[in-house]
Amino acid sequence: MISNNKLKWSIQIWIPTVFICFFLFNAAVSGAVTMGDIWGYRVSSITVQGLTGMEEDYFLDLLDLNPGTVLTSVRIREGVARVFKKGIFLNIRVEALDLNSVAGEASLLIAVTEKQRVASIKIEGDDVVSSKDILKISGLFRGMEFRADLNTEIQRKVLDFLARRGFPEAKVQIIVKSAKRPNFVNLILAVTEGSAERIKSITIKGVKKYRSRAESLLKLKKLSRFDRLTLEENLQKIRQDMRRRGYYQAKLPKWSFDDGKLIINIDSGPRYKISFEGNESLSSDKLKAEFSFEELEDDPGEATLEEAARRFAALYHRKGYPFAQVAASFEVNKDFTTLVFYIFEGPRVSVKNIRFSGVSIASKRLMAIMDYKEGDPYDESLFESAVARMASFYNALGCLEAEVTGIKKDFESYPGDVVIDISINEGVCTLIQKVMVAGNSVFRDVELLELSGIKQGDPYNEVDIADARYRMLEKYNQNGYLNAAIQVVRNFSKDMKSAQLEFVIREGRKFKFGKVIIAGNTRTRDGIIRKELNLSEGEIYDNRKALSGKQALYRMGLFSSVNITPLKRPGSDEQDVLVQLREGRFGTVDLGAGYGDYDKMRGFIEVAHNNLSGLNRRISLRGEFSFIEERYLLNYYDPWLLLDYRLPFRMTLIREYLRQLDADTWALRYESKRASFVVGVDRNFSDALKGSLDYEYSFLDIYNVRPGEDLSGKTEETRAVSAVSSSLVMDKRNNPFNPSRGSINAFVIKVADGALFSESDFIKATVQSSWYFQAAKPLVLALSFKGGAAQGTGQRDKLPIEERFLLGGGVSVRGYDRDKLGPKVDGTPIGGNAFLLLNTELRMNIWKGLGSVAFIDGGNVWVETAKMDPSDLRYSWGFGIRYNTPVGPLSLDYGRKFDPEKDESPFEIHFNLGHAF
Amino acid sequence: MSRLLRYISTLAMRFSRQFFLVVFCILMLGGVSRGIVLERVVAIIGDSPVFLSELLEFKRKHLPDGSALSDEEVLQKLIDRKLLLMEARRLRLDTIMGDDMDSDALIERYLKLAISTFMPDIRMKKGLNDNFSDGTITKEDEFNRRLRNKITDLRKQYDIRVFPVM
Repeated sequence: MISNNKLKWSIQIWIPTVFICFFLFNAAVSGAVTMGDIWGYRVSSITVQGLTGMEEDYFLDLLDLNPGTVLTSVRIREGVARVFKKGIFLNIRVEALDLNSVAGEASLLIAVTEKQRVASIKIEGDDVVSSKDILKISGLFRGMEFRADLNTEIQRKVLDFLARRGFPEAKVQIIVKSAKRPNFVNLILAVTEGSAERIKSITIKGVKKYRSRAESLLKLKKLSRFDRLTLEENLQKIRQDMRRRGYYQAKLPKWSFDDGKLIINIDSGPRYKISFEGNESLSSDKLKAEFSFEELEDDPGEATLEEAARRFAALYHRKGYPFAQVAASFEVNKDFTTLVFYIFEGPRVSVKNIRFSGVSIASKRLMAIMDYKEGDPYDESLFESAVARMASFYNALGCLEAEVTGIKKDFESYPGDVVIDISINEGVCTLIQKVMVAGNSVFRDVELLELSGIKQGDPYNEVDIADARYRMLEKYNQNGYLNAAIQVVRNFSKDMKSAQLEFVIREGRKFKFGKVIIAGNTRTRDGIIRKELNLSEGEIYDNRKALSGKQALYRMGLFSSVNITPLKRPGSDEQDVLVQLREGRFGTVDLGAGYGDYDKMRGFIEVAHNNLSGLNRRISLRGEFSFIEERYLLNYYDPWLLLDYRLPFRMTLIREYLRQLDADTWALRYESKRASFVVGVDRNFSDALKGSLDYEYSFLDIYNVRPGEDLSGKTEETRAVSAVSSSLVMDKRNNPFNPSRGSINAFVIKVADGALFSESDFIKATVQSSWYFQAAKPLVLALSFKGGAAQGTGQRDKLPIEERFLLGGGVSVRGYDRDKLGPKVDGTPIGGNAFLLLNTELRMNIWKGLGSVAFIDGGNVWVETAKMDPSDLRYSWGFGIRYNTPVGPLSLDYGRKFDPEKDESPFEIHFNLGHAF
Repeated sequence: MSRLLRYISTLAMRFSRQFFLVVFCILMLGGVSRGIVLERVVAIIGDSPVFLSELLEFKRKHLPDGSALSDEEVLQKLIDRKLLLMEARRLRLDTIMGDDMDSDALIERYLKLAISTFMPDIRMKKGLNDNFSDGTITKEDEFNRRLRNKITDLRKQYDIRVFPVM
């Protein structure tokens, strides 16, 4: 049995000993694993601390670290450098924890310190100086990094600015408050302007005659605040004004300000006048415009006069006065100096004939190349460049040694005309004997040779060779070979009649897209940007994809600037992409006004937010108003309804009030109120093909119905319509507002049924096919066909009044008043279940934005679909004026019926924005 | 001091078991394996980070063993080197078709360019002969002076932030 003392002794000795050994062992084990030993370990888990400015998944993706990744120093360094490019981090620390040397695993702790950024900037206390100016001077902007150490510099800049604006006692304080978002701050610039510096008196010294003019240009008056910025702007204006008045050596006036006394010294220099003698064909103003004396910095001396004379002479030569001469001199008077230009115009000469000798090409063709035709004014300088163009033309034909050997000009045989004889030595023309490619393994010879566009027998042309090289390089670049290089080796035969070309290609490495780093976005989510960009890691690097990604980002409407820069990864075949963005404003207010021949004055106002939750979701409230209609719409749009699959979603609530008027008499036909709810999704199958699916629920209340309107004798009616519609549109027009090429084809079907809780049952379909052809440069031929058919499927055959087809008006059959083509009851159009519409229009651009059209329209409406008859169409013809605006042309059309009926007017005039079709 | 030691010894003697138990527990905890820092940012030049691993590598490669320089001083030298590299890239000296130039080669290229730029100017301004000797300065001194001025200018151009190394 162990005694108590022995037990005590054991505990006192052994327990501490065990602890010491344990400690030493532990220290030995932990000290044994160093940073170098970690490389090659696998990541077992990752913990991220301090990250608020981006999604963790995206952060780890950029770091290229995931559970299971093998740790290497290069990987970690490159990953951290990549993430740093996002621009929101101050520091990133990567630590390995829980090392398991047996399994070769470690968990990672990644601790980030983010920069503090500015969420909002408010300026308070500025009563006189505008907040916009103060903000600009401060250099502060939303989203920038906030650094407290730079506050002093910002305060200094603002105080200097305020002092210059006449507030020398201003005070500025920068108040920093934490924003709701982590790592963001709200800044308040509290400005106290203090008392202003005032002008007690103004004295202008200098040329007496100019003083009153200078006083009128000076905006600062006695007792004004002494604003140095305004003073400097005014002094610049004074200087420009003096120069315009002939004081060509006027300097920027100097000023002094002391104890409220402003003294301005105007140094005008001598005054000059310009006069011309002998100019009969060109006015003095036209000549003065050729040489700007106002821009002279120095005294207009001999050299200046010579240069001015040379320019005036050159102007005469261009106008067809080849013998014109100009001499200049000074005349000094008491008050001013006159610069006199003596002009000898000589006779005006036109080109009577240009004759070529030594050529195998028709003279007409050579004249066309020279762009010089008989009857043109003879301009020596233009003629020289025309001859140079001919030499380039011969080079393009492979005649590399062609030269103009002589030019003779006969001015005497035909007074007022010149006959020009040009002798050309065409020399030997080189043709391509053979084209080869070498060094290519990615693309076959045949492919590259076809791409070059150069074949045996073609004339030797350096421009064609350069284009061929460029096309081949582009093909390589588009397939990921960003470092491809092509050298062209030329071998000429001894007699220079033939040449062999060899395109020697160095393909280089094939690159793929690496990581996409998005920087500059503070309010838009990374995820939505990456989806729109659509660049996948591992995909072949094609510049076109990067460009279309950039365009997609601009189309989001959220960014004022998008820059995409490839980043090389040393030793890798992947190129990371840095996308630098500048976010614009997301809230918009739009206003518009217009005029239509039916709805008269119209306007709209819309307030929208385009980036809800940073996901490019849009919500807007819009009001539309006109003489006949009042409409309110609440819209919601989400471009990515299914998070990973592009499916734009729309939802709209509409409340409208409409007064339907008779277009002839303006009498009220009926009034209606409608409340609608519409949801829909869109799908872009390709760039041109788009489909949509919509559901609409409308509650319609029609009242104040005029007798005779086809509502079965009712004076009012309420109706709920619940319908599903689908459309498919193939739009290949080159310009949706003013097309000159391409086509648009569309099909729409709408079904309303009791199963959808609709009180009206019908099925309605419309088709459209419109085509545009550029006949000759200013002419466009536009053709369009539209048709529609509908059938009531419930108790009523006829469609509800608001769903019926109606024709007539500026956008259907011109020459007929709005809705007036088709069946009528007592002169009132009732619409129908079927229609056909044909439009043919010839559009011509006359000058700049002004154009004209000539058209023939035809169409008809039938009450019943079964009675549709293509031979029973009503036609009209007419012409119109167009004026182009950024959103389509303003149209004014005169349409005339081919066979007006007894009560019909023979013509109508239509005014609209946009083409008829 | 001796009084303090005597006092601690007295305590240790008096509470020897508890004392050792506590001390060893603390030491044991201290001996438990902590995280190993794999990478950290030690400075930022403009928008470009300077890494701890770069600093260690630079120290190992470019500074003689047993150098008396502190880590902060070494970091400043590394920053100077990085500034020259950024300048070399700005002048597109790293453009070699298809290959990636390493930083040592790039620095060498930049220095060669600097020599070819500075030397004729030095020769002209100092009135030195081809041997560059006027007894007061050597070409190396003058070149180094100009290079230091260049680095000073570059430092003014970029916003440089330095964090504690350890």
